[in-house]
Amino acid sequence: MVEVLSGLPHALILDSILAMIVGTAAGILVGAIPGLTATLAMALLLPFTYTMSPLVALGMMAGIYNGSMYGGAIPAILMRIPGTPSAVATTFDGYPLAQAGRAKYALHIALVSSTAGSIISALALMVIAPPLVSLALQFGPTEYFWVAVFGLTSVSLLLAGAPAKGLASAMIGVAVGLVGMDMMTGSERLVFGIRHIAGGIDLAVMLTGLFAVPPALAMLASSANGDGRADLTGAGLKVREAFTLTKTWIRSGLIGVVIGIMPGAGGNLAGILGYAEEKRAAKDSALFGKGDPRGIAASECANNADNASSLIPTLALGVPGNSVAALMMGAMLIQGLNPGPALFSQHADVVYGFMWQMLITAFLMLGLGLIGAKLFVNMLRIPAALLAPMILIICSLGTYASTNAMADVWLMLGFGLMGYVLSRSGYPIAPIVLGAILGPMAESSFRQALLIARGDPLSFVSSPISIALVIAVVAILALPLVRGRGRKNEAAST
Amino acid sequence: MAVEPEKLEGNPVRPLERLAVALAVALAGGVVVWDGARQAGASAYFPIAVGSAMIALSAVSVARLDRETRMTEEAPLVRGFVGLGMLAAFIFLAGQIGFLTASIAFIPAMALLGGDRNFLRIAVGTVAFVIMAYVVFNLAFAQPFPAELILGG
Repeated sequence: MVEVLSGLPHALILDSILAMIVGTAAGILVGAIPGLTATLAMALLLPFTYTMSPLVALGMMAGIYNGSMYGGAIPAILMRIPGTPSAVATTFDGYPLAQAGRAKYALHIALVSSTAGSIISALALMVIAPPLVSLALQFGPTEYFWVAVFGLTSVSLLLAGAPAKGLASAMIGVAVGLVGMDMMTGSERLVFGIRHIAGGIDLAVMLTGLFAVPPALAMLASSANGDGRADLTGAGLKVREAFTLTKTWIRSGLIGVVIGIMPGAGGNLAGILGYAEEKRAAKDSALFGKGDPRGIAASECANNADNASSLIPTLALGVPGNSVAALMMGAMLIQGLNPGPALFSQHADVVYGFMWQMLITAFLMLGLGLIGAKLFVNMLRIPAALLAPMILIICSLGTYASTNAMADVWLMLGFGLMGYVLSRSGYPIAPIVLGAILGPMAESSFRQALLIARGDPLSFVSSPISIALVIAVVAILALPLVRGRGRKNEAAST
Repeated sequence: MAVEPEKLEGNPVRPLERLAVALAVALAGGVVVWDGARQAGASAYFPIAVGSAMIALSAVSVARLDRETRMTEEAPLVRGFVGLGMLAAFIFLAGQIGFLTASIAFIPAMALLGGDRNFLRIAVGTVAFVIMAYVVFNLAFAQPFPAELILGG
């Protein structure tokens, strides 16, 4: 606990506070615009973080992450268009309330519930991550190899509609991670004489291309032309009314935290499950879908409670569970920080400071959400067709600024093309990034383990932790078969 | 579970396109195996395993390919490729005449591709963005960018 408290002064330095304010405001703005997500905003920011100090970069990203989750509720409530995928369940009761002339009340419920979810999640991060690090200290190369394989398989299979495509995406990512010099032998792999990539592919370049270019292209076909009218109507939420939602927040917050820790799940699943559980638990469930404030509170609290908790495996084990966590990990790697147990001992100021930033940005979101409500609503009037080229220009400027090489801007375009083509055919993008991050970790752990065991393959199943991880990997791989059998049985019975 | 890229609504993806992408993944896997086979010792293990897995997984995707047209939330094929082509032209021009100068042509062209026909809004938006980008990147951050044809640099 003392270690956790030691991070607070680092999070409260002036640069960090300014970064959190800017990040939170930017996050709400981004979330409020349909088509823009936290992932895209972070991918845009990533190349610029090279020149920032670690806690400034991470504070800004923490603000974007928390802010965008609430921002997604604004168009969900006012226009029945979820600003981010996580806000789908918010439309169910938010829009009917807005239609009844109580838009301001609905937005206030979304705001305080998002804040409650973010607080619960940040506290979970502070409480769960340090003990997990103690466990991770017992890991050797074999355990890390299996952790990487588990992270890759679970995320790939859970994110893809078709398991083969999810796994193929992960393998593409591992192949990208192999590009460059082999650290053990010094030989060049997949370089093909191109000197620019002999040192490996820059993570920020890949992330920007994969996560920012395809959504920007999709915006060119968006129906959001900026002509829509959305207004804040009615009276706001009273403080006394807010606290009647406490039980909803606790229930949905816990759901969000559990979903966040699970690799491959995410805020959209948390929001829908939180809403479904609240409806199930309610005695008067018939009111749901007609403007019940508990519906908005459950969805928004759960999707924000997913945020900080999704970073628990990233910080403690170095295994990102979703694309936002992968971007956070990317930002840390750019700063020379390697997530995992060593981070907690070598850079305790950064890791615990970042945990506090996740908590502080929850409160900043509440303040900025109340002050800037009118501005955020006006963001809905920016036409998507005008916003798309601006995003692409910022991608290009950011990529160039990070390495001062036009070749990297072309490389970013290449990754954008790859992301667009693969995504159209149902290949998920997040496993590519996870593959590029976890692939090298898996390979180095694999080769170290073989060297230590003098080539004995049985060393990979010699410890209880390794065996448990192997069982987890097999269970995850068997999941599509079980699901397929279930569907067949269902079809046969109907 | 969390994300389902193939939707019931959206832009169509024909079976031929899905087949072409699966074959491209297999081809990329073949290249990875070929490069891995040229490596010595342990350096070869992962490339060969990864490339082989890409080929095998593509084979599964091809075997499971149906004749139905699927839907995606990504940009329509033609508009997406035109957009990427315009981005390539922008990057080429940016290297010659600077990012901000190239933006003056790129923003209106992309906005028109996106279906915006409000010319006044496009003009005002373009000028506002270029000025903002100049102030932020060139003046405030003092980032070294390729020389601009206009706006100094």
